[in-house]
Amino acid sequence: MSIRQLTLFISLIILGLPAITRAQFFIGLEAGGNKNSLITNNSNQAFTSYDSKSGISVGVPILYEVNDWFALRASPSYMQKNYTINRTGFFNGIYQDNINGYLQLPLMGQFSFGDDQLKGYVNLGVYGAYWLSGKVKGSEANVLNPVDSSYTTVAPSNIAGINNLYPYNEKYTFNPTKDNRMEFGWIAGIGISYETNNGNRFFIEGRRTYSFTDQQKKYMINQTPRYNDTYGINVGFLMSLDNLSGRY
Amino acid sequence: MSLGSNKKTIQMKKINYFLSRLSIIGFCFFIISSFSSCRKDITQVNAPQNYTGNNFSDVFESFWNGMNNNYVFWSIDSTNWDRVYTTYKPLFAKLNLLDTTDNNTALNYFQQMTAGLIDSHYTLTYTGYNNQQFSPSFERKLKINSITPDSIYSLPQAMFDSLIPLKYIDAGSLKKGVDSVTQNGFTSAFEAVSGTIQNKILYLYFNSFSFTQTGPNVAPVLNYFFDTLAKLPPSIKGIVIDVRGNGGGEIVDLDYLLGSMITKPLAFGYTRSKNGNGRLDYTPWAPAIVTPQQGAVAISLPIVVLADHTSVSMAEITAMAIKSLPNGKFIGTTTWGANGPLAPAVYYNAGQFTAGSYVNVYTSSTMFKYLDGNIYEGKGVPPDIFVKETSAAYHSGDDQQLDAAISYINNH
Repeated sequence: MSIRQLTLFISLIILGLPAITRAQFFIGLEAGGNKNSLITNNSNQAFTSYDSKSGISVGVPILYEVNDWFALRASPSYMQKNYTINRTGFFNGIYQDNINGYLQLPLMGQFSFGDDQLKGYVNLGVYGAYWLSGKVKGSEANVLNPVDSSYTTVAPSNIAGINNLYPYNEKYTFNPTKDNRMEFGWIAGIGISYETNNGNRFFIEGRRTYSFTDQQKKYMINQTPRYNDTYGINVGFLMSLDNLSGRY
Repeated sequence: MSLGSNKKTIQMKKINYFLSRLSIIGFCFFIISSFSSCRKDITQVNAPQNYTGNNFSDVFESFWNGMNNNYVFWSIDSTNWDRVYTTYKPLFAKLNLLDTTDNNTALNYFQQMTAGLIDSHYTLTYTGYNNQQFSPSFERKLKINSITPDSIYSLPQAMFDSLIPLKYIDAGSLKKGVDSVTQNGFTSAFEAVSGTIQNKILYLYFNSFSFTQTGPNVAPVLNYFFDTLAKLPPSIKGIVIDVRGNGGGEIVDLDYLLGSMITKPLAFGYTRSKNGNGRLDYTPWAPAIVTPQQGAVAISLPIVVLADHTSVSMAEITAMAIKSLPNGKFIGTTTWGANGPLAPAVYYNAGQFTAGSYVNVYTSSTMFKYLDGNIYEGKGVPPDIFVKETSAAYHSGDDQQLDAAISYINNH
């Protein structure tokens, strides 16, 4: 299904709703942790793996409840989509953690079920994100800082016995030729919310964000794409705007 | 309304509720299952040595992809590698690997494709055909030579075998020796000369960085130099390290040589390599460091490095390291321009590789940036004091560059 088809479908649901009986706005705060993987292929690289890495996210969920089972939800948020490049075997110790911060705006339809207080729900939508910042932390073999092993009789058991490792922890400098800082994708979640007597809600939600844009611009032939794929869990609360404005 | 009718209505509502939730869940599963269709296919990336090389299309693919992934200078190289792909892929597809004429045509194509690469270590060896070699940087120097004669030729070996030992080195101090060493699979002569000049200058010449392979003839030369350095006589006013015509070699020798003259680590530049398959995927810059050796003494006297247009690789790196010392000076001519250190490809997932068992590609594993922020790959390192040798001076028994070094030390 294309984005266009999905957008059309969601629009039809909204427009076709028979009656907006108790439309209500909610706003709140959410935070959580996630695990991101960079989906790519590097099978030509010896002793090298791309591994998932955990990160954090914080956001401000905004919910427009159309009726008791459908709501629209936006959740502007800061979200990390991290991953690690690890060298293995003889090269164990060489790695790079890529800490990437995104400003993300998911737009979702929320389908609820359950009783008035305890509800289960499913979210589904699309998101747009901007790659805001990057940091690289790791360790590399420093070719021009050799361990003077040639003058000893000790056979190295690790690359660190040949070249001193250079540890680094620095801001990532974006390359406008290579880095695609805009990201779009699908987002889906499943959660449980509990409504208190005063109408506020607490929720816990598992979420998957699935990028369908390459992390790189198309700048060379035979380019292997790189996609972020993130699983996260968020907790948060939503306050009814009616409550905030004093109307009960 | 009857009780039965109410029950029926409630039942219908429950069924509708159930169906609507079921349709929502079904819809969500449908959407989630269609997620992956929005992505481009991620195909397997193969290492160049794993291609069969059974036909020229295969050889070309392995070579082009190997270069695409392993070459470390794409950020500064002006070669349009995508254009190379679109131009030469169909041309290679027309060639027959079992035809001699086509093999020669393929060699021409390889040379055309790589002629502009700035990596000045870069050498192709056609291991699957005739073992001929092609070096783009050497070809470029040949062209320069047609305009400026002698621009590619090393100084005559007699300069180091006889002129300097007989005319410049103090007779009682002369140490000279030659051993046989192996570099990149080739056996070559490792020659070193040391001694004092005018009893004021400690001099060392060596033609390759092969200290670890030093044999019985060169060892006394190096021992003399390093022993004198460790207990420097008060009469010594400066040091000359002569790497003219030096083709480079082992990286650890720099620590052994220059690390004997410093007592604090010397940062003189940076290196970086690849950390991904993209042309522009790089590691951060790591500092290039000379580590002081045990028993080293801090030399505050002028240290002059003599290097020239045939000083390559480690010879150039040594010139830059000495140049970065507060008491260091580089005298001579601009070096060859092959500054990127090499290591086995598996160390960095970059650099040298073999494409489809047809062509071996000798190329840097890392890119070097000097302390001043410049990358001299393909350009050569400019001297602090430019002095050119001339045939006339040589034939009249003079080494103009060594004369300039002596003069510099005498005046400082």
